[in-house]
Amino acid sequence: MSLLPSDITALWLTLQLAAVTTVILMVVGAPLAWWLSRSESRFASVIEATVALPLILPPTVIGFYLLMAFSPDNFLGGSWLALTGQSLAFTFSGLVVGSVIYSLPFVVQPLQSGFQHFDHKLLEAAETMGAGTLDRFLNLIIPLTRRAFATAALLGFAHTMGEFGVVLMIGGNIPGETQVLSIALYDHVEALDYGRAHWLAGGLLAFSFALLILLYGFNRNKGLKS
Amino acid sequence: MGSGAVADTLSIATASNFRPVLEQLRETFVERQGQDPSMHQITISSASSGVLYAQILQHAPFQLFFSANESYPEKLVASGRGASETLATYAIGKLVLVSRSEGVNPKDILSKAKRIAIANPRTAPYGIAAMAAIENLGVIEESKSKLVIGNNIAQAWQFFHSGNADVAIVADALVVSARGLDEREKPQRQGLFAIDLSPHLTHPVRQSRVAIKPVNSLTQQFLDFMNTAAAKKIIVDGGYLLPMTNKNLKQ
Amino acid sequence: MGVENKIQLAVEHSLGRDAEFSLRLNVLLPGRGITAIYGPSGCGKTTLLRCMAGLEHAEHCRLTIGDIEIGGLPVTQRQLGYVFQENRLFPHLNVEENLDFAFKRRFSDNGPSKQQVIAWLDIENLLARKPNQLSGGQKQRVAIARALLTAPRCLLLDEPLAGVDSKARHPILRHLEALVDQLNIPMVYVSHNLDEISRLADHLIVMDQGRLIADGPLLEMLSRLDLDLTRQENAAVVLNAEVLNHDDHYSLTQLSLGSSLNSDGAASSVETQLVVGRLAAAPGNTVRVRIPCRDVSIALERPSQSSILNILSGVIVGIERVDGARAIVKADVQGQSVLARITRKSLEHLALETGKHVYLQIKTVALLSETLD
Repeated sequence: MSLLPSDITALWLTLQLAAVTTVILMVVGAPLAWWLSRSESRFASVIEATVALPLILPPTVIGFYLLMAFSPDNFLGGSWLALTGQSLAFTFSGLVVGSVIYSLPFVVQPLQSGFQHFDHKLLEAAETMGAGTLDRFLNLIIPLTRRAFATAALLGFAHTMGEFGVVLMIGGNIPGETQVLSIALYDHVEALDYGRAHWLAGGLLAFSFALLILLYGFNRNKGLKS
Repeated sequence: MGSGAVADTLSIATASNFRPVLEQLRETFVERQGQDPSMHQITISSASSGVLYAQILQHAPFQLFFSANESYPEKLVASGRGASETLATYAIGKLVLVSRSEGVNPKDILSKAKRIAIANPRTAPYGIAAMAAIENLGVIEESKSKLVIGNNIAQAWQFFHSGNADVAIVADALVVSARGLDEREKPQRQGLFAIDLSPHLTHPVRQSRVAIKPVNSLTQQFLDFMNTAAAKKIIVDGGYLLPMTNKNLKQ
Repeated sequence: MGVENKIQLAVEHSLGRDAEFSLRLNVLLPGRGITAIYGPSGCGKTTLLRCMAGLEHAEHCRLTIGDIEIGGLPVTQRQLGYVFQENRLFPHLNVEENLDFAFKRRFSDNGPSKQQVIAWLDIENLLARKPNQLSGGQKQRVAIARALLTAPRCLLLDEPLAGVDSKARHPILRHLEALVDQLNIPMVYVSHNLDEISRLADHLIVMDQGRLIADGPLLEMLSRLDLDLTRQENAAVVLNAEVLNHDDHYSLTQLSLGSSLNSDGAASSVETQLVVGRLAAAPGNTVRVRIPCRDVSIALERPSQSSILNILSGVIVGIERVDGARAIVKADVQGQSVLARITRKSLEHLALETGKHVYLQIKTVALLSETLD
């Protein structure tokens, strides 16, 4: 008993989804987390709560509303269709949108806490030396909060790898496009093909565990050093 | 098992598509008993047939199983968990093609479709039937890339209903109950067209049931009720055909 | 430098929800040397410096250096060096990388080179260290070096010695003094420490509650009886003195308070001369000495039998009663002012009044960098 080509396709697709999602989340999440860490407005707590929603909402709720939003009859789905000629539901792009929302708190929260511990006075010093916004971000904030960035990226990646409910609702189970590992696994279980299910489930478990060991090991080492 | 005077419990596991009909059956059954409804505890759990089958194998506490296919109940009998004398086909599913554009030729509709939502042909009987119908219509190659697979028939319907798929192949029962809901909520909702695909199927979707051993008297009473004309009317009204067996014709 | 190089500064700024604190100030600073901003804590001197740098968004800020108006520019474009009280070195970079951070972003190529700055502040042997491996004084030296490497138009220093222990202050002060000669950019130095200011500054701005109280050349300001400066416990005047000659036998140096121009006449009189410990400076050089008010006493006649070497002759030009018990007497010596803090009892006993000729007995004369008893 070993992995079938369809399982390998699902694995590859899952890794791609997690990678693309993580990259987008870092780009979107970093400024958002920065703003949240600095803002004192009441509006910020509303945004903070919104970002945290996927932590407590059943993924099916997110999936259900996304499916509604993706419909060409609705604004998001309609504009996407007009823009790209493709629908969002049942496509890789749709999964990326879903995963970004679903994994957002896992990226934003570690970044936000990292930024909160960041000494903002250093930025003023850099400013007086002529360093602009991007310069300060790249040369001060990122190196000084790299632990938070690593944690955010790993958690975002791992959480997207394990995503199921949202993908189930908006994916359409299309091999090579939306059939990710967890869906393939569920399929095997539904079809009572427990042998193949074990392969995928065990693999996912081992991978997630390894990723978390990497994460906590990394944080522990850095923690002892500083 | 215990005499009828003692309150029994009945836990029914049913394939998702049959749930709305089963709930009506329960209501009528309880009325007919003419007893205090609290005497009987009848609960209904629904999921896809495969999941329920696996749960029953793992000793889930169900007394009656309404599957969306024939094979799971047969397997339960073979494994000794199902009571063989209770094994029967209770309904034949009508497979329909639903779309938003008027048309009479299912082949044309499928050819023009952008997304075709069906249930998972690997696990759902209606998914298998949908694939068979597409194949028999001779559009399997061009349709393959348009297929979006719902985990079960209800999800395939949801893909269609939300507007993300323009065509779906589902059970008529689902369309009937969804229509009922829609008409209650938005009476003027229009633009839903359903075409019966039964003529394009070699093997109809035969839905079987089986009682799990041991069979208590409440379970037996419910099974007896299933053979009454009232129960059959409910099933037919729910969008199913009745199996043409001698046993059924008798009544 | 001409007037055109002066720094013109006008700031209006309110802090707090109901503008509990407001800063309102319009002042002209010299375009060279060190200008000190002095005032009690909370007077707004740091806020003023931050407004100059653009770190505080003042409602109104005009800042003209030379003829360039930079008050409306963002921080990154003002081209001002800033040394913070808490050094703010970048913890992930070592000393050299901290310097490079500034040097790579320098505002012009006319500034000092890395080698020069490293030598001036004597940080050659610290280059490979991380900031957390430096002492407070070393960190501040690196911070000053880093600010200089951006080739700023003006260097702003916000109490750079406040977080440094007293032993380490001395070398930093020496480096800062030397910097004035090396650089031709003005420095603005915020401090509430009169000793530091007396040593470093050429010009002094006194602030209180967000307003300008007085400004002018340091020597003049330190002897102004109308300012709170002279009421401080450690109030002192600073005098310019010329090295006359060295007495190698006693290891002493003789200084003259009179300018060299009238050294032919009364200027060479012993009554206008100071004696301090042997200095390295050659005769003819001008040095700065500092005389604390509490170490000056007054006599009507020249004491003949005293261990005190320095007895100056002067004329009282002002008297200010400080509190019930004490008074400050300002005397003119060869055009320079010496303050004496005495008791009111002595004031009345000696019947001191403006215009009276007195002898000032000076117990201690502090040189720029060494103290003698």
